[in-house]
Amino acid sequence: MSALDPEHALAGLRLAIYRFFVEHQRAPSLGEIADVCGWPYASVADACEALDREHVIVLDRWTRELRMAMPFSAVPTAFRTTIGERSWWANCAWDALGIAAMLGADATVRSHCPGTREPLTLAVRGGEVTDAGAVVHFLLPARGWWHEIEFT
Amino acid sequence: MDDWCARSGRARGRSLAPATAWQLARAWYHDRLDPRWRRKTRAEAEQVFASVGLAGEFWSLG
Repeated sequence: MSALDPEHALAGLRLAIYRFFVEHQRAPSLGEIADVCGWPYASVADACEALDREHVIVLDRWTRELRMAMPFSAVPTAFRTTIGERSWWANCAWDALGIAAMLGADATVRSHCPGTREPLTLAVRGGEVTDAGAVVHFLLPARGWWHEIEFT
Repeated sequence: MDDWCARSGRARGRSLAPATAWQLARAWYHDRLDPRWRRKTRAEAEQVFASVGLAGEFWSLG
């Protein structure tokens, strides 16, 4: 276990998760996080539970493996962000744009209209987003987002 | 959108133009890879929403 105080240790673990997502375009397993951070597996599991309670990440309700490190999704969704040759799943349209914002790069966001199934594309170029005539819809009021985070 | 919401059994929420959603995404996620990042307080989050013109009951976290 790191000699850092708990707050710094958690911050370091959070950053390691995000850097893994960026580099590998997928979620790390808890075992991979342990390898990267040099922590015992049990310590990683406990730390991830703490981050989940704080809504910093989201763990799968059954496996307790990583489900979300917002804006990244660990599972395929209707939202895909591509930067160059790399692509990531996002949790929603906001998060799909968030990947581009976080990485500060031109990006293409692909999704589809849930009503018509028509493919939709948003492009971020030079810090601006093109308007394809689509809208980004927030179904739930903000105070309800964490009640059903996977639905949100 | 209205048809989809009706089929889903949910009331329509709020629609943002892509440009506004992009402003929100930048304001929210620009520093997520900063080692000093920490989760926003409720007030800070609502300030971010307001900074891109999102205010009112729908965007309230309280």
